[in-house]
Amino acid sequence: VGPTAEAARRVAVPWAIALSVLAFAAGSSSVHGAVRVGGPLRWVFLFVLAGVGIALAGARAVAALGASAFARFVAGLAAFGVLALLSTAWSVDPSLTFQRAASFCVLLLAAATLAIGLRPREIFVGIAGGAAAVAVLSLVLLVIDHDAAVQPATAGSGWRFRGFGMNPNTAAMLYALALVPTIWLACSESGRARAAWALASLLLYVEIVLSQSRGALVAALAAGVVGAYLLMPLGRRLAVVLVAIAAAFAIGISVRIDASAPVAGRGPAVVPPPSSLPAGCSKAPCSANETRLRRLYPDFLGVFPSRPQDEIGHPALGDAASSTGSGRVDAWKGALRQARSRPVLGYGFGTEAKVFVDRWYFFEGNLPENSYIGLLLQVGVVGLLLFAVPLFVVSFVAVFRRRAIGAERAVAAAVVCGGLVLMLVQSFAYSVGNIATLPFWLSAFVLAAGRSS
Amino acid sequence: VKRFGVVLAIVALAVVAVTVGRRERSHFVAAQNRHLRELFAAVGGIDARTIASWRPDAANCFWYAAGGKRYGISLCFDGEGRLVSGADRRSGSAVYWDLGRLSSRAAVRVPSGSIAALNRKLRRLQVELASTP
Repeated sequence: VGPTAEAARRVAVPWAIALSVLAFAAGSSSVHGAVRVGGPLRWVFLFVLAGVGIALAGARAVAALGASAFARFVAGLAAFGVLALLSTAWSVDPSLTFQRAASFCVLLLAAATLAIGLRPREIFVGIAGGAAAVAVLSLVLLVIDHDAAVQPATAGSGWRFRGFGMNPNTAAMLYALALVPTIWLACSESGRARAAWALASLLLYVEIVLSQSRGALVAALAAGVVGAYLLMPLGRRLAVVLVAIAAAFAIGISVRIDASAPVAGRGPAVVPPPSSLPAGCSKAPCSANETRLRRLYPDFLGVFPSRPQDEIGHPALGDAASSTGSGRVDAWKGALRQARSRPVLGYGFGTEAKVFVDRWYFFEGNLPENSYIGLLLQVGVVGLLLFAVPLFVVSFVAVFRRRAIGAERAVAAAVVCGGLVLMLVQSFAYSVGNIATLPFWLSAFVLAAGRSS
Repeated sequence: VKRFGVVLAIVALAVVAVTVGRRERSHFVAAQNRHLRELFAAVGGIDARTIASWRPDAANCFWYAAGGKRYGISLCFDGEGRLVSGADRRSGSAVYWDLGRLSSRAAVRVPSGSIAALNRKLRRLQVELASTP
């Protein structure tokens, strides 16, 4: 079988290249029939060639890594990357899918190579330093442009600090993941560096609390608990630290910012409720033509009393209030219903915002705000498993082998666990442009690579 | 050699994935179109007497009284007259059918002129409703 397969490889790959050249020639031929066949076929060949090339390079790279846990982690994520690229073929927006998948693969490549090439400590200094810089910039923005740094109160919630982020959850996500590395740096440094990192840690925590981002707070709690458990020996000191973390969380979650400020939230459309609009032409002034129109459409009530993004649960539509709070659970249910229509491989990587339509009166957002559901929408059950399994495996291995991992990997495990929790309430880990994505993947590869400073 | 076997397996899996993914997309489009066709048939045409509401924007969405509900069925058309989404509220809770960015595969299509004509009529009617004391 061996020599046969090798011979097949030697023959098949040149043949594939030759056929691709032929398909491209047909696609731009002067013969109409050839163009009709070659036009679409050339792209098929291009993708097959690219797939073969990537697979050969990937197989060589994995073989070089050996059968280590890191190789399995890389192979799992490479499979996800390939699936994301392939989903161009069935995407609702192929060009968007290809762009997003390619940029995500570049991010994974960058994170993997940095995790191999740099010392973990250097990576954590970068993550913590970047987060601290964002936190300081947020304070500066608060001073020079209060309106930009603070989101006004909305119905049901008070003002929220968004600082340098697009919304209050944006920067808070970064802070939640960067908090443990920053605290760890404060604990492991001395002198001024220790004071600086300690101050940065405090700043990150305070800004998370002021953002009123409960998801970020819960993610920071998860990261803190995992970090403390992995970094400290079992005993009284660990118990004290865990109690302190729980207290910090309780304080953060119980802080309620005054909601009595002017409300700039949503409300029904300017049109009066339909029940108050008359049907039929019982009153003047009705022209003959208008009378005819009213007779033609006796049920007509006027402009629809809701915006497209409020159609479900809007009081003017007679819908019972089915949700309270942020309405996130309703949005999740709706997104899951959508995912059921294409359960195996989804709508195409990167199309979450195109596919998910916010129709809930109590929900504000253009994404379902749950990375697992977002992945299900984009790449189906297969993609979700390829994405999540490597991350959960390295996290579980770290937690159950706490004595075998060093301090840096413990910090990385804390960040990854915090990120996995954050994925429950935010769509972020596959979005390259997201503020928390790079720190998350750098930490994941540090954890999987198993190197220490 | 073993590596080449792995590569062959990966390529085979990729072909399977593309086939399954595209088949899922076709099923999705067919299901959306089937339900949209049913909604359109239940309304009985874009210019039905039961029209209850509209939204005067580019989305060309119209609501119709149906099943004892004021806004029982909604139909939304794109600029080319293709029925791209709809909702059924007759059972009490809203169920949406939406082709999204696959609107070019819509099965139900009306002349775009009929949408423009309906929009004109509803605009006149709306003005009248607003001016009614």
